[in-house]
Amino acid sequence: MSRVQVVRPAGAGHETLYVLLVSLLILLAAAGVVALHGERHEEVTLPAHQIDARRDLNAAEQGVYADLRVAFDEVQAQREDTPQLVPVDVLAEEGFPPFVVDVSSISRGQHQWQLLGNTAYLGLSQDSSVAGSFLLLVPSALDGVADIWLSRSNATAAPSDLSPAALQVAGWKQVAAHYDAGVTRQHQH
Amino acid sequence: MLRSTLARRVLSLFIACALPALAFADNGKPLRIGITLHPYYSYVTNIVGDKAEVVPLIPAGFNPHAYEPRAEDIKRIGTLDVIVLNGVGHDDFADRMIAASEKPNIATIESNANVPLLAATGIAARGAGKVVNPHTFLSISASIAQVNNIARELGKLDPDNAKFYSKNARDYAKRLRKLRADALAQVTEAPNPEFRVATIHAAYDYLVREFGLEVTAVVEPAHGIEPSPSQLKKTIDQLKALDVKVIFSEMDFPSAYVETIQRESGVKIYPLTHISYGEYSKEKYEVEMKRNLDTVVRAIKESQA
Repeated sequence: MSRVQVVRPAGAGHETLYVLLVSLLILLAAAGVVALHGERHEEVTLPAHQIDARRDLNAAEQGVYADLRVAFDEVQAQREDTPQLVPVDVLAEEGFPPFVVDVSSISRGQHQWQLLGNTAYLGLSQDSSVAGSFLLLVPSALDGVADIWLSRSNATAAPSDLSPAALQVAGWKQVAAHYDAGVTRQHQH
Repeated sequence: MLRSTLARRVLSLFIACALPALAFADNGKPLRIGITLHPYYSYVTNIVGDKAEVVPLIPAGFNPHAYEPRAEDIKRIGTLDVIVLNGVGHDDFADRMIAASEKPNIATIESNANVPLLAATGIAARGAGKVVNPHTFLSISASIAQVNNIARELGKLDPDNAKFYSKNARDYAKRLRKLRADALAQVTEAPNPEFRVATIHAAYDYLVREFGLEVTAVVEPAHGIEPSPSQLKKTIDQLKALDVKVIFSEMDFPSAYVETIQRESGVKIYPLTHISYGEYSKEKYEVEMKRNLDTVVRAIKESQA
């Protein structure tokens, strides 16, 4: 009686399969970890009536906008002593850009500034191809935030109604600035 | 009777003498405020005067671009009450230091919270415009916005001195405004739109914006990394194609390749300072910023001559 001895071929098919299975397991585990711990960057989408101060303003407009916010700090500080808004010529005399006329204001669109009632400063651009016109609405609260609007049309008249709805109809856009310190930092702030 | 009156008077005199000391003990000791970069040392010392102590997190002599936290610097955080941060990318090391310190929950002031930021340019502009240019301290306007912000936040932490801080901040802001006004007054004619500028390091966008200018190109691939010969050739060709008139280079970190660019492209080079080198001092920001403003003015005037 002869015994049949089965000799398996020297291939490593099953080992390859195990290696593949383990690789797949590692991949799945890694994918799971990434899915659970990965950070999601939420896109900030602005409403239609707003424009982004960083992306949507040109260099001249960014300059005027930054200066206007600094001048607003002074306007608020002075309101603590006198409720009336500081006149444009006083701000210019004290050297506050964008109210002061200098080389910088000339190359940024030569805005003509005026006070509208006791609620807003309007700066009409003399060259809308360089920069749009700006409107700074001063909030009634002394610790309120600056509300700045921009219009790129060639309008030469002051808006008659300063409510947000009326401004939107007249083609003004609210400038929105957001602070994202966390982009390059390990901790989100 | 007489003796008891005398005793009462002596006692009231004693109490009157002891009162100021009691009041001081009540308020606690003056604030110890940590700062990360040279301009912030100048800002905060000008705001607080002698009412608080300002402590740099990194000792003088280290370059904040290449700084790695050391044990003794981390330990110092334990002695502070609050830390003033740039917070938009120039002092990212501070977060790690604070987390490793004895006070991981120490109060921090985000100086740039109210500053309209510009997008980063050059190689730093990765991440679809989400990375911002952290050099807000190289602009007078953005500096004043930060000084106002720091003074407001310090006033919340130290309400007894809040008025003093805000008055000092306004006085300091006035001096800074004058620096800018004096510089602009020297330029009689606005630079024409053909006046294009490039920078070696993507730091000066905020500064040239104050003159109504925009940076057309940034030469350096990353801060402190010199371009390779092929990158250099590409840069020179690019400068010629864009018709750049002026390059602003780094005063504190001179590089030999800058001369090559000047020789090959014929563009004039003017050095600016990054205000992040040397000793910390109250006057440093004003002194170095005046030099920067004067340099930009010189570049504009010489281009018009």
